[in-house]
Amino acid sequence: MNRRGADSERADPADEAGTNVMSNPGRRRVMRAAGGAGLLATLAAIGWINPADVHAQSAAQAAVRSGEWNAAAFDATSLDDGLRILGAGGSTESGAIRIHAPDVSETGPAVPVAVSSGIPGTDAIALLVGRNPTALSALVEIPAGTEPYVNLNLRISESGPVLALVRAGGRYYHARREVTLTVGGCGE
Amino acid sequence: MTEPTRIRAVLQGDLVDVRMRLTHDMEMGRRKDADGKLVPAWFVQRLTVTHNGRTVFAAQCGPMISKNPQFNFRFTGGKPGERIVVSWVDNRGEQRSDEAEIALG
Repeated sequence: MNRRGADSERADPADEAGTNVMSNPGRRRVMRAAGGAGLLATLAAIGWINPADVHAQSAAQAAVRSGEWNAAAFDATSLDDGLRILGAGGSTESGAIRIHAPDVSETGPAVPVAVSSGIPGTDAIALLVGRNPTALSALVEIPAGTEPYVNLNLRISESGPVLALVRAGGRYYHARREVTLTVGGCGE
Repeated sequence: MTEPTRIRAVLQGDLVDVRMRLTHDMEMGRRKDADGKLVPAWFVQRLTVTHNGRTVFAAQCGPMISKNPQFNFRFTGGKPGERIVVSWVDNRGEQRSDEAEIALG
Protein backbone atom coordinates (compact mmCIF):
# COMPACT_ATOMS: atom_id res chain seq x y z
CA MET A 1 0.00 0.00 0.00
CA ASN A 2 1.42 3.29 -1.07
CA ARG A 3 -0.41 5.75 1.10
CA ARG A 4 2.76 7.69 1.72
CA GLY A 5 2.83 8.98 -1.79
CA ALA A 6 5.21 8.91 -4.67
CA ASP A 7 8.27 9.48 -2.57
CA SER A 8 9.38 8.99 0.97
CA GLU A 9 9.44 11.71 3.57
CA ARG A 10 11.60 11.80 6.63
CA ALA A 11 11.42 13.87 9.75
CA ASP A 12 13.70 16.87 9.64
CA PRO A 13 13.49 18.85 12.86
CA ALA A 14 15.50 21.66 11.27
CA ASP A 15 12.67 22.28 8.87
CA GLU A 16 9.92 22.84 11.41
CA ALA A 17 10.00 26.61 11.11
CA GLY A 18 6.74 28.45 10.76
CA THR A 19 6.03 27.92 7.07
CA ASN A 20 4.32 24.56 7.56
CA VAL A 21 0.60 24.08 7.70
CA MET A 22 0.12 22.80 11.23
CA SER A 23 3.24 21.74 13.05
CA ASN A 24 4.73 18.59 11.62
CA PRO A 25 7.93 16.64 11.07
CA GLY A 26 7.66 16.78 7.31
CA ARG A 27 10.08 18.39 4.95
CA ARG A 28 9.41 20.06 1.72
CA ARG A 29 9.14 17.51 -0.98
CA VAL A 30 10.49 18.19 -4.40
CA MET A 31 8.51 16.32 -6.94
CA ARG A 32 9.56 15.30 -10.35
CA ALA A 33 8.62 18.09 -12.71
CA ALA A 34 6.08 16.96 -15.25
CA GLY A 35 6.35 18.10 -18.84
CA GLY A 36 3.32 20.42 -18.61
CA ALA A 37 5.11 23.71 -18.12
CA GLY A 38 7.39 23.09 -21.10
CA LEU A 39 4.46 22.31 -23.34
CA LEU A 40 2.67 25.48 -22.26
CA ALA A 41 5.78 27.55 -23.01
CA THR A 42 5.94 26.06 -26.49
CA LEU A 43 2.28 26.78 -27.17
CA ALA A 44 2.82 30.37 -26.03
CA ALA A 45 5.88 30.76 -28.25
CA ILE A 46 3.89 29.79 -31.33
CA GLY A 47 1.03 32.05 -30.36
CA TRP A 48 -1.55 29.46 -29.40
CA ILE A 49 -2.07 30.68 -25.88
CA ASN A 50 -1.51 33.85 -23.92
CA PRO A 51 1.97 34.08 -22.31
CA ALA A 52 0.43 35.65 -19.18
CA ASP A 53 -1.68 32.52 -18.69
CA VAL A 54 1.43 30.36 -19.16
CA HIS A 55 3.24 32.31 -16.50
CA ALA A 56 0.33 32.02 -14.07
CA GLN A 57 -0.03 28.30 -14.68
CA SER A 58 3.65 27.44 -14.39
CA ALA A 59 3.99 29.47 -11.20
CA ALA A 60 0.93 27.70 -9.79
CA GLN A 61 2.31 24.29 -10.77
CA ALA A 62 5.66 25.03 -9.18
CA ALA A 63 3.87 26.10 -5.99
CA VAL A 64 1.72 22.99 -5.77
CA ARG A 65 4.73 20.74 -6.46
CA SER A 66 6.93 22.32 -3.84
CA GLY A 67 4.29 22.22 -1.10
CA GLU A 68 4.62 19.76 1.72
CA TRP A 69 2.41 16.79 2.60
CA ASN A 70 2.40 15.66 6.20
CA ALA A 71 2.66 11.88 5.73
CA ALA A 72 2.90 11.11 9.46
CA ALA A 73 -0.28 13.03 10.27
CA PHE A 74 -2.21 11.48 7.37
CA ASP A 75 -1.17 8.00 8.59
CA ALA A 76 -2.65 8.51 12.06
CA THR A 77 -5.37 5.96 12.77
CA SER A 78 -7.12 7.76 15.63
CA LEU A 79 -8.23 11.27 16.53
CA ASP A 80 -5.81 11.36 19.47
CA ASP A 81 -2.83 10.28 17.37
CA GLY A 82 -3.76 12.71 14.62
CA LEU A 83 -3.97 15.61 17.06
CA ARG A 84 -0.73 14.63 18.76
CA ILE A 85 1.19 14.38 15.47
CA LEU A 86 -0.17 17.76 14.41
CA GLY A 87 1.16 19.20 17.68
CA ALA A 88 -2.38 19.86 18.86
CA GLY A 89 -2.63 17.37 21.71
CA GLY A 90 -3.46 20.20 24.11
CA SER A 91 -6.12 21.74 21.89
CA THR A 92 -8.90 23.71 23.62
CA GLU A 93 -12.56 23.13 22.82
CA SER A 94 -14.11 26.28 21.33
CA GLY A 95 -17.69 27.33 20.70
CA ALA A 96 -16.42 29.80 18.10
CA ILE A 97 -15.83 26.95 15.63
CA ARG A 98 -18.91 25.85 13.74
CA ILE A 99 -19.17 22.52 11.93
CA HIS A 100 -21.97 22.23 9.43
CA ALA A 101 -22.69 18.60 8.61
CA PRO A 102 -25.76 16.41 8.44
CA ASP A 103 -26.68 14.80 11.77
CA VAL A 104 -27.71 11.72 9.84
CA SER A 105 -26.30 10.88 6.42
CA GLU A 106 -27.62 8.14 4.19
CA THR A 107 -24.36 7.85 2.29
CA GLY A 108 -20.86 7.76 3.72
CA PRO A 109 -18.74 8.23 0.58
CA ALA A 110 -19.50 11.94 0.15
CA VAL A 111 -20.67 13.78 3.24
CA PRO A 112 -20.60 17.58 2.89
CA VAL A 113 -18.83 19.15 5.85
CA ALA A 114 -18.25 22.87 6.31
CA VAL A 115 -16.17 24.50 9.02
CA SER A 116 -16.08 28.17 9.92
CA SER A 117 -13.96 29.70 12.64
CA GLY A 118 -14.78 32.83 14.58
CA ILE A 119 -11.38 32.79 16.27
CA PRO A 120 -9.33 35.86 15.26
CA GLY A 121 -6.09 35.02 13.48
CA THR A 122 -7.23 31.62 12.24
CA ASP A 123 -4.57 30.49 9.75
CA ALA A 124 -5.26 26.77 9.37
CA ILE A 125 -8.20 24.38 9.62
CA ALA A 126 -7.94 20.59 9.77
CA LEU A 127 -10.73 18.04 9.52
CA LEU A 128 -10.51 14.68 11.25
CA VAL A 129 -13.00 11.83 11.29
CA GLY A 130 -12.89 9.66 14.41
CA ARG A 131 -13.94 6.28 13.03
CA ASN A 132 -12.19 6.36 9.66
CA PRO A 133 -9.24 4.00 8.96
CA THR A 134 -7.08 7.14 8.95
CA ALA A 135 -8.42 10.09 10.89
CA LEU A 136 -7.03 13.13 9.12
CA SER A 137 -8.95 14.10 5.99
CA ALA A 138 -7.58 17.51 5.09
CA LEU A 139 -5.29 20.27 6.34
CA VAL A 140 -6.27 23.63 4.93
CA GLU A 141 -4.12 26.74 5.02
CA ILE A 142 -6.05 29.99 5.41
CA PRO A 143 -3.89 32.83 4.01
CA ALA A 144 -4.59 36.43 5.06
CA GLY A 145 -7.52 37.67 2.99
CA THR A 146 -9.20 34.26 2.86
CA GLU A 147 -12.24 33.62 5.06
CA PRO A 148 -11.64 31.18 7.94
CA TYR A 149 -14.06 28.80 6.28
CA VAL A 150 -13.90 25.68 4.16
CA ASN A 151 -16.50 23.34 2.78
CA LEU A 152 -15.60 19.97 1.32
CA ASN A 153 -16.95 16.46 0.98
CA LEU A 154 -15.52 13.66 3.10
CA ARG A 155 -15.66 9.92 3.26
CA ILE A 156 -17.07 8.82 6.59
CA SER A 157 -16.84 5.08 7.17
CA GLU A 158 -18.83 4.73 10.41
CA SER A 159 -21.04 6.81 12.63
CA GLY A 160 -18.90 8.87 14.97
CA PRO A 161 -17.31 12.22 15.63
CA VAL A 162 -16.09 14.74 13.06
CA LEU A 163 -13.52 17.05 14.60
CA ALA A 164 -12.52 20.46 13.26
CA LEU A 165 -9.14 21.68 14.44
CA VAL A 166 -8.26 25.36 14.12
CA ARG A 167 -4.88 27.00 14.52
CA ALA A 168 -4.89 30.68 15.52
CA GLY A 169 -2.01 32.67 16.97
CA GLY A 170 0.04 29.50 17.29
CA ARG A 171 -2.60 27.83 19.48
CA TYR A 172 -5.04 25.06 18.69
CA TYR A 173 -8.79 24.93 19.19
CA HIS A 174 -11.35 22.35 18.20
CA ALA A 175 -15.01 21.54 17.91
CA ARG A 176 -16.70 18.19 17.49
CA ARG A 177 -19.88 16.99 15.87
CA GLU A 178 -21.44 13.54 15.70
CA VAL A 179 -22.48 12.26 12.30
CA THR A 180 -24.66 9.14 12.12
CA LEU A 181 -24.51 7.05 8.98
CA THR A 182 -27.10 4.68 7.65
CA VAL A 183 -24.62 3.32 5.03
CA GLY A 184 -20.83 3.13 5.35
CA GLY A 185 -18.36 5.14 3.28
CA CYS A 186 -15.51 2.72 2.74
CA GLY A 187 -17.23 0.06 0.71
CA GLU A 188 -17.60 2.35 -2.27
CA MET B 1 -4.51 11.59 -18.39
CA THR B 2 -6.01 14.06 -15.98
CA GLU B 3 -9.33 15.76 -16.53
CA PRO B 4 -10.27 19.42 -16.05
CA THR B 5 -11.35 20.80 -12.70
CA ARG B 6 -14.75 22.46 -12.80
CA ILE B 7 -14.42 25.90 -11.26
CA ARG B 8 -16.96 28.61 -10.45
CA ALA B 9 -15.72 31.89 -8.98
CA VAL B 10 -18.32 34.55 -8.27
CA LEU B 11 -17.82 37.97 -6.68
CA GLN B 12 -20.41 38.50 -3.93
CA GLY B 13 -19.93 41.82 -2.17
CA ASP B 14 -16.19 41.95 -1.50
CA LEU B 15 -15.76 38.19 -1.33
CA VAL B 16 -15.04 35.85 -4.20
CA ASP B 17 -16.89 32.59 -3.61
CA VAL B 18 -14.96 29.72 -5.24
CA ARG B 19 -16.42 26.29 -5.86
CA MET B 20 -14.26 23.56 -7.35
CA ARG B 21 -14.88 19.98 -8.38
CA LEU B 22 -11.76 18.01 -9.15
CA THR B 23 -11.97 14.92 -11.32
CA HIS B 24 -10.02 12.24 -9.48
CA ASP B 25 -10.72 8.68 -8.30
CA MET B 26 -9.26 9.30 -4.81
CA GLU B 27 -8.59 5.59 -4.29
CA MET B 28 -8.28 4.86 -0.58
CA GLY B 29 -5.90 1.90 -0.99
CA ARG B 30 -8.37 -0.31 0.90
CA ARG B 31 -10.62 -1.53 -1.87
CA LYS B 32 -10.17 -4.87 -3.67
CA ASP B 33 -10.69 -5.29 -7.40
CA ALA B 34 -12.62 -8.11 -9.09
CA ASP B 35 -9.58 -10.42 -8.74
CA GLY B 36 -9.34 -9.76 -5.02
CA LYS B 37 -6.22 -7.62 -5.36
CA LEU B 38 -5.89 -4.45 -3.36
CA VAL B 39 -6.31 -1.32 -5.50
CA PRO B 40 -3.34 0.92 -4.61
CA ALA B 41 -4.01 4.27 -3.01
CA TRP B 42 -4.16 7.06 -5.57
CA PHE B 43 -5.30 10.47 -4.39
CA VAL B 44 -4.74 14.19 -4.67
CA GLN B 45 -2.25 15.29 -2.01
CA ARG B 46 -1.98 19.02 -2.57
CA LEU B 47 -4.45 21.55 -3.91
CA THR B 48 -3.66 25.22 -4.32
CA VAL B 49 -5.54 28.18 -5.71
CA THR B 50 -3.75 31.35 -6.76
CA HIS B 51 -5.04 34.76 -7.73
CA ASN B 52 -2.61 37.24 -9.33
CA GLY B 53 0.25 34.99 -8.22
CA ARG B 54 -0.88 35.00 -4.58
CA THR B 55 -1.99 31.80 -2.87
CA VAL B 56 -5.56 32.22 -1.66
CA PHE B 57 -6.20 28.59 -0.70
CA ALA B 58 -3.93 25.62 -0.03
CA ALA B 59 -4.90 22.19 1.20
CA GLN B 60 -3.11 18.96 1.99
CA CYS B 61 -5.48 16.09 1.27
CA GLY B 62 -5.62 12.48 2.37
CA PRO B 63 -7.39 9.52 0.76
CA MET B 64 -10.46 9.97 2.97
CA ILE B 65 -11.66 12.86 0.86
CA SER B 66 -14.46 11.83 -1.48
CA LYS B 67 -14.01 10.76 -5.07
CA ASN B 68 -14.17 13.80 -7.38
CA PRO B 69 -13.51 16.13 -4.45
CA GLN B 70 -15.50 19.32 -4.07
CA PHE B 71 -14.25 22.37 -2.21
CA ASN B 72 -15.73 25.76 -1.46
CA PHE B 73 -13.89 28.76 0.03
CA ARG B 74 -14.02 32.57 -0.10
CA PHE B 75 -11.34 35.21 -0.47
CA THR B 76 -11.15 39.00 -0.71
CA GLY B 77 -9.37 41.13 -3.29
CA GLY B 78 -10.64 39.57 -6.50
CA LYS B 79 -12.29 41.58 -9.27
CA PRO B 80 -14.60 40.46 -12.07
CA GLY B 81 -12.65 39.36 -15.13
CA GLU B 82 -9.53 38.46 -13.17
CA ARG B 83 -8.45 34.84 -13.22
CA ILE B 84 -7.75 32.23 -10.60
CA VAL B 85 -5.59 29.14 -11.12
CA VAL B 86 -6.50 25.85 -9.45
CA SER B 87 -3.64 23.32 -9.32
CA TRP B 88 -3.34 19.88 -7.82
CA VAL B 89 -0.75 17.14 -7.57
CA ASP B 90 -1.46 13.54 -6.61
CA ASN B 91 0.60 10.85 -4.89
CA ARG B 92 1.81 9.53 -8.25
CA GLY B 93 3.18 12.95 -9.14
CA GLU B 94 0.51 13.64 -11.72
CA GLN B 95 -0.65 17.22 -11.71
CA ARG B 96 -2.82 19.69 -13.52
CA SER B 97 -3.81 23.36 -13.45
CA ASP B 98 -7.04 24.92 -14.60
CA GLU B 99 -8.15 28.53 -14.72
CA ALA B 100 -11.39 30.37 -14.34
CA GLU B 101 -12.47 33.98 -14.64
CA ILE B 102 -14.12 35.69 -11.68
CA ALA B 103 -17.75 36.45 -12.56
CA LEU B 104 -19.92 39.19 -11.10
CA GLY B 105 -22.51 37.68 -8.75
